[in-house]
Amino acid sequence: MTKLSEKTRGRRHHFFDDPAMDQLLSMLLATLSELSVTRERLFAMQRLAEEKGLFTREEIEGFQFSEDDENALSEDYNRMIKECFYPLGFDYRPTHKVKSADGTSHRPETEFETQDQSTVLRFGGGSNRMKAAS
Amino acid sequence: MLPQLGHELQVSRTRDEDARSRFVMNLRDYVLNDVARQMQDTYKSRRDALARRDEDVPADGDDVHDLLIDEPIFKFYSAVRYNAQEMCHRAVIPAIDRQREDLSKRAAALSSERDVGGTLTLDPEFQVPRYVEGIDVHLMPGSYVAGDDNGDARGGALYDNAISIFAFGRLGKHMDDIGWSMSKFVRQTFADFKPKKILDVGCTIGHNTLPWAQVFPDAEVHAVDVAAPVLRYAHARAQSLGVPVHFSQQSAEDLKFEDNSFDLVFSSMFLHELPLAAIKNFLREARRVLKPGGLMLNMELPPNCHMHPYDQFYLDWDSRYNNEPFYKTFRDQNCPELCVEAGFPRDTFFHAAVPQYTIVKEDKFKDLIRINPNAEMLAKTGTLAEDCVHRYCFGAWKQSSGGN
Repeated sequence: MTKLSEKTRGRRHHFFDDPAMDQLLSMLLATLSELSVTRERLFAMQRLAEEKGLFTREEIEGFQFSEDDENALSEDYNRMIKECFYPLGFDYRPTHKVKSADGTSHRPETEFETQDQSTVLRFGGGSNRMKAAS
Repeated sequence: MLPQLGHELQVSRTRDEDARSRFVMNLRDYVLNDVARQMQDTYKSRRDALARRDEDVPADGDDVHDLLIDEPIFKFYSAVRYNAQEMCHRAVIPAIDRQREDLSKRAAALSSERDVGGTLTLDPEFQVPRYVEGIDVHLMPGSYVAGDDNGDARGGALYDNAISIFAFGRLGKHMDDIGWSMSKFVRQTFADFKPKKILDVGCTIGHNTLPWAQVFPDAEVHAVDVAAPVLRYAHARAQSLGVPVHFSQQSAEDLKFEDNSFDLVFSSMFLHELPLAAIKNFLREARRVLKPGGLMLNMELPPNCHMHPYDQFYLDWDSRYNNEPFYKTFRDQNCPELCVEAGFPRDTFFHAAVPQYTIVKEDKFKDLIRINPNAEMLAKTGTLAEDCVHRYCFGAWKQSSGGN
């Protein structure tokens, strides 16, 4: 028996000027859904723990972190925030074709600078060849 | 509270699947209430600003759409709502697929082994119209024919499980509020009318069919649809609930019943899924199979001619963005003219605003029915009012004597 498709046939609507925004929103909502799954399991675990007399909600609320606990938590949040913001500060280059006044289009140039900044390699600009800048 | 289907075709869900379903319900609640309200407030500000400058304000839903389309709140409303619609189906498909063999066996056993009195007649040569099998209507992957290549009922399971999330549990215990509301409307409004043979056209999983058999227990109830998976599910479901209905695979445009064979022909949330030519063919067929003096009743979304511009836009959103390509064409029609064109006498046409029976219950229901309501009441149909949704329906009676 073949499986049902989870994907609707046909083109998908996008509502933002850039469809990537729509994709990001979908990814965000999928992430929220996964978070809901985690929260629901935690909720069930908490209730089970209460019923079995393991620990209560109040004990979770009142649990005092040690200084080591606090430091570990801060480190984890720091890691998580950096992970989420990792592209911040990246230099973005356009990858779309640029139209010239005469109506022709070409890919904009891409530059790579060598470490000692003595050479700039240019790639693109209508050519597939890498050439060193003069 | 996650709604339960209330019959033996219920698929079991994991905790994680329950969580995803619960999340989608809450997401839909958020976008249809909070975000929708913000969008309407934005529209009112924009419209008021136009009025203050003595410029033309939107005259219809298309104008409202043009005004709002570049607003960020419209983009977010639309994108979140679109995603939530997809997520309704994605939330239930894994459970259905995981249990597909078992679901098939259960449906087959219910259909063949339970003595309820209903029947199922499928036509292996039947050609499903392209306007059904070619569109994943309301973003349902595979549409009503999902799973049909394996001869199973998964299309029905997909529909049943997805609308249980979609409707927030506000469609009654068995997703059958529309069927209860319409059958009770007929019983209480036309007290002398005692239909003995009733036909539900475009019945899908029979959720709005069974109430007719329960409200008119002396009637023989038939139901047709074009898609085999939903019909298999419908019959098994009816067997499980102990209600006899005769399901068959037929097209509304070309019913196989004899002339003058039914007292009542009913449809619910059906016409907006048909191209206009198919609607007209169906209405002619409805009249043909009705006995003289019989009633045709269609529950539908309210026509645009009765709605304020903003509500026209709000309901037409589905036509533009929810894979409901025929929605707006139907809602732009003049219902009395459609009935007259099908051969019904003009003076028998009526329409009504009917409250939700499963919410307001028996004691309040009759008093809240408005037959041939005023413009203000008509403008509120199809959207959530203080107590419940007041649904739009229209109908006509076949002339009592004379030829076809």
